[in-house]
Amino acid sequence: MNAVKIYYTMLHLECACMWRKQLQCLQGLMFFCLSVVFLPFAVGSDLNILQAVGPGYMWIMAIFASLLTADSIFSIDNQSGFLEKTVSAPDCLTAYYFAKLTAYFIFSSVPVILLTPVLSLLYQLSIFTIIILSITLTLGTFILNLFTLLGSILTLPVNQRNNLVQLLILPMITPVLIIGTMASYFTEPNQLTFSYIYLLLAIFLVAMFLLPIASIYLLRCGNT
Amino acid sequence: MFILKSYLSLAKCYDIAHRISSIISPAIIPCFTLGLVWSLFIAPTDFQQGQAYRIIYLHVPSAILSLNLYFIMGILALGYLIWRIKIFSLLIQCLAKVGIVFSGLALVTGSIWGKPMWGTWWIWDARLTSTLILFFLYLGILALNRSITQSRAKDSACAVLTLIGTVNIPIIHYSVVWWNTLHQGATITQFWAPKIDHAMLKPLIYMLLCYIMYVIVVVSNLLIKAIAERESHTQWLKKRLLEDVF
Amino acid sequence: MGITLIKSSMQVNSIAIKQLTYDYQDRLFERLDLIIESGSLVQITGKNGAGKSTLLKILAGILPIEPHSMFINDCNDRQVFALYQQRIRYIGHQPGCKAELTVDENLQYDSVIYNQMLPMNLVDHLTHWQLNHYQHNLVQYLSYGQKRKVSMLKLTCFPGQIWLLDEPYVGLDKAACEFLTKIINSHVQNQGIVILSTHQEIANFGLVAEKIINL
Repeated sequence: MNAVKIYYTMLHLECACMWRKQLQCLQGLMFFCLSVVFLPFAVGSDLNILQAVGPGYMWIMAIFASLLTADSIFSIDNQSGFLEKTVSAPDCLTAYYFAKLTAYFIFSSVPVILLTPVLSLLYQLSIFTIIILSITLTLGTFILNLFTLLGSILTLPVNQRNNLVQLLILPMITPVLIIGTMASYFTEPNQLTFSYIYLLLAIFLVAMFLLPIASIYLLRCGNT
Repeated sequence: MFILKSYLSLAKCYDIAHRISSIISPAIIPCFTLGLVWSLFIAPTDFQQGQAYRIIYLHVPSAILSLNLYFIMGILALGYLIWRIKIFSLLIQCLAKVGIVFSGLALVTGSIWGKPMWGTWWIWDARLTSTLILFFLYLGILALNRSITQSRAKDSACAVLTLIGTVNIPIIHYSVVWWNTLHQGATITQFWAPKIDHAMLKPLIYMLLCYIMYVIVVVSNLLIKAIAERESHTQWLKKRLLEDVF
Repeated sequence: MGITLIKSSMQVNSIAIKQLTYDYQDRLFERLDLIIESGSLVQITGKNGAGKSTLLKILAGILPIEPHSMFINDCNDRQVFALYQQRIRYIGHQPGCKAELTVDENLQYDSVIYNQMLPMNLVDHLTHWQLNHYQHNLVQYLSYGQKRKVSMLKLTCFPGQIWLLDEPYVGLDKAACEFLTKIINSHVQNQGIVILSTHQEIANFGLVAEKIINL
């Protein structure tokens, strides 16, 4: 069996797993929706404030929504002994990692990205801002998921239920947050916005190269 | 390489740390007293800021050291991951404890300096914000260190986290600088005039050397404790502990 | 060591552990030496906490050790170790199957992990372990013994030379115990290696260990 077929089979099965755990997948989405909807109750419905704060606030809430279920990515497999089985047959570890990454992205970040344009209407953001927000959120949450998987592998040996992943990942995700929100603050098309998107792409490429290596190395060298 | 490795064994490092600690510890209090007297009383008063500028003698060395200690930890992490030298991972954990204290000190003294300068306790300035993120990076390493009990997993996890953080720090720093200049515009971010007077520079460098001496002593003591915890069941440690008692 | 021509159809003739010192909370193994030849059944026994599961995990490559401590066919090359790991079938304490997938899907996952096609006569394999009626049931609704049988399925469906079994008879009913004894005996006769850890007397199950490692 070649690597791509292994990856696709694993991806299919991981997605089947996550589809059957719907409540867990929807946690992030519910958190995102509720927080975005309830902001005006806290700061008032003055549109100036909402449009000034909106894109950045949605970015932060998207980050936290993705991080909500971070501790259970590998720990469920670890507790059921599945991770041990996978580590003892290490040829498939790379495919396993990427299948988990893709499945996690599809089920925890893509719903948030799809709902962002709808929820942006609550803040009456301009069309251009909504488009740029969606694009930067897509790139940003994928980079975030790379970091999240690394964080969940780092915290695998911890015995308590914890959300240490947030503490570990948030300082490292600050540049992505800064660049993503700086891009989203433009209300009209201009050249500067795309330079931010190219920067995000650059960070994405570097992260996509370095982080899987670190994560698979940690999985292999016995974090169980 | 083998000769080097024998020096990196835990027993040897335990002895070296004891020796360093016993030699340098008596010198700390006199050196610091001299440094404080020099910086508080002897160094000249600043033209712009009056006596309040003297906090830089505490702030600047701790800020410099907190960043440099992180880079040293990054190099040690790389060494641990490539060669699996156990003393490196113990050093990372000890340096993290010192580093978090220094970055916290830099934040606090920075705020204390900020009050007479800008009238507020906190300002979202590029350097202070970078130090804040550095504080959280240290906090993450320490939290991970405390929560994992298995030593092998703890070492690997802390090393990888430190390495990723070290690679990330330049990115974080430049993006924070960018963020600050774009959002705040023309806020004055300079703490002192670009050319610092020699009479003020000398006590600063002296305080930096005192801080480095303090780091060496504290890390030696923490390392002794960490090695003792890690190797508590071995014969050589029991022998050493008995020798220390009698 | 030199340059060894390694074929992917390599047969593992011997597993040797030399002077292994390992810590897990406290010192478990002090200069452990053992050699396991092909075609043998090895039993690891000892008190609770003596390190039986840890030794099995070390043999499976789950817990890493220094490369100079473990030799496969008298060779501690990384490539040889990777080929060795392809031939391991490890069953630990926990069932080791995903609770949200059906038995069928768990087998598909196993086929991908062990890089072998699913067997043609899958239903026969399931019948041996009395799981044929549960093929499309979610594993989370099965009993503990049935979950262990799901993890035992890979021993027959995806054959591998080395079986590392941690307390395999726990939770299995009488028919399953007899079947397990039968496949272990036939596997050992076919030059396979079976290493199992158990407290109980394996003579009760009809097995005779060639080597007993007492930790």
